[in-house]
Amino acid sequence: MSMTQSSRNSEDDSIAPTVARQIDENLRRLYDDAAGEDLPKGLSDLLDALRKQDSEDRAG
Amino acid sequence: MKDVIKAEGVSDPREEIVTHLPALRAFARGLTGDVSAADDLVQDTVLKAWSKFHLYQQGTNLRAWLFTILRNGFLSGRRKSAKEVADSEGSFAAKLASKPDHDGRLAMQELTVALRQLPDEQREALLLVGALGFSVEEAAETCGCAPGTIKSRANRGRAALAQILGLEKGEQLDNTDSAVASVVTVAPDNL
Repeated sequence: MSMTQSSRNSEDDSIAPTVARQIDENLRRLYDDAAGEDLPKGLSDLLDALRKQDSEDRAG
Repeated sequence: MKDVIKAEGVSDPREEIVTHLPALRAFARGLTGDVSAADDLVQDTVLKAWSKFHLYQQGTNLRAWLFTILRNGFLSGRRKSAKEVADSEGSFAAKLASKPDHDGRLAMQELTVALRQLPDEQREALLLVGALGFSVEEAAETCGCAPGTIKSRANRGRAALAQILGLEKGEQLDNTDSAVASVVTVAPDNL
């Protein structure tokens, strides 16, 4: 399901490198929060359940 | 005895998946703009990945493989709920971990809301390359397109953000009175 290239516009999308860099820095900062958080319990529980199921499958 | 054969120097993807979860969550938040929806999407991704690990080729890029599954899940969900009303203020923005300064938090919310105005393809390119540090090639592998397409989408996304946030092309951020400028020019750590 590759995405087709819908982006053929030859509009001028150039911005100053400093602006581009600063936008990226802010994006990184924005998502560092999410990346730095502990995993939610639901996700940890899911992983535990999947591992348990795997080991039961192997044993059984 | 483990039934997962581990090639020398290649880790078990079932174990390695954990190391990618934080970035997957960040990507999901960026795509959905909603903390709960993002975590649901990551859970679905883990379930799908777990059931498809037999299709994963050891030694290939697990991160790109996982991100592709997440992206496909997101796009599939979008198609199913085409009429989904966007959370205009973004519950993710509202739940952003607190920043040290009020202006900075406002600026981050402004950035989040602006990001949500971008087309999916530009947003995902910016999230992967700009926010999560993927190489253009890895982002292209994740999105199933050419590296040049990712570059173009990311560039147009940055240009659109600059326009939405009132940053003129070529203008230095610190010459603007945008709230974002306050974040960029004053590192929160220094406040």
